[in-house]
Amino acid sequence: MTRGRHEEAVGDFLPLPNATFHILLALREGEKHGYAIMGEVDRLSEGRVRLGPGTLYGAIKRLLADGLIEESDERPDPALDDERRRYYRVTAIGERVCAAEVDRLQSLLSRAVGRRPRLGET
Amino acid sequence: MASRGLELQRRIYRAMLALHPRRFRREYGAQMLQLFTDQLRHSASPPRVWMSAFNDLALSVSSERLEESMRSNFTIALGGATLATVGSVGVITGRGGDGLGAITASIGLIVVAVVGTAVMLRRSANQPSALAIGGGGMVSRSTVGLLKWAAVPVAGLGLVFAFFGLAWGSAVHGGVAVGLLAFSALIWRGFGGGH
Repeated sequence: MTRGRHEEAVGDFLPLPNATFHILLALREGEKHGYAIMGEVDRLSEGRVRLGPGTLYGAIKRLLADGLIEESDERPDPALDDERRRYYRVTAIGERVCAAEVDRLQSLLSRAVGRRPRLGET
Repeated sequence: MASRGLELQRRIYRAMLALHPRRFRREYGAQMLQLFTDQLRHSASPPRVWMSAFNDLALSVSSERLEESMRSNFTIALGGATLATVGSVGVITGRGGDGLGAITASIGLIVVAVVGTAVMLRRSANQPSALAIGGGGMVSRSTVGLLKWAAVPVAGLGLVFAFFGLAWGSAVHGGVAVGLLAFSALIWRGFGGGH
């Protein structure tokens, strides 16, 4: 019963907006501050998704409000970093939502590839 | 010289941040300025950073303003529902006083209907596909979830009409009660986020 409710809650977030999905993917590899998230999203998307400060922090604000990420108090290396920077990390529910979105996209992709006429043939 | 140029650009960007709602600016303004500074420091082409900053500001200002207006809409809708309830109770109990109750109820219902329709239209425009460029749902689910509580006063009003419809055997009151209860169910379902 509890499991069912949790699955329903995860499903409520899907499909994830593009920026949100990329930010969650970037944070799965470890907690990061805004500039590091921006760089990681750029790398993950091979430069196709570029987040500006406003778009990034708007998405971060909504991710925090929805409980998909949280602010971290720890600093990876305080000596090398500005203490005013805020670091973020994925929560457990954020991790499940991210995994569910990957499943959804994989399933969509396999259906798209299996359809006839094949993609690019017409 | 270079640092003076950087400081000037930071000042201009900081001034542009004033376009965002105050609540958002207070929470994230310093972080955004820090990020913009990082971009300038690491970019070989400051004009490109500025072009990107203009695009980004246009998107983020509009989305944050939209979210802020949805918060205001909730307060206005709640006020409208309260007006409608008070006015309707006045009409039903015969204490409307020269049509004042009916006018109050009508104004309240119109406010609820207008704000509700505006919010629903905005919500339908908030689908991910409509924001492929901006890359993000404009409004957090918690804000949308807040709006579902507007269903409570509407349902309460429906129950008041149902009670008097049954007590007086009035089909008109019964019909209004059914309409209000259905409307409250729509609000609850529409803003509850359930599938």
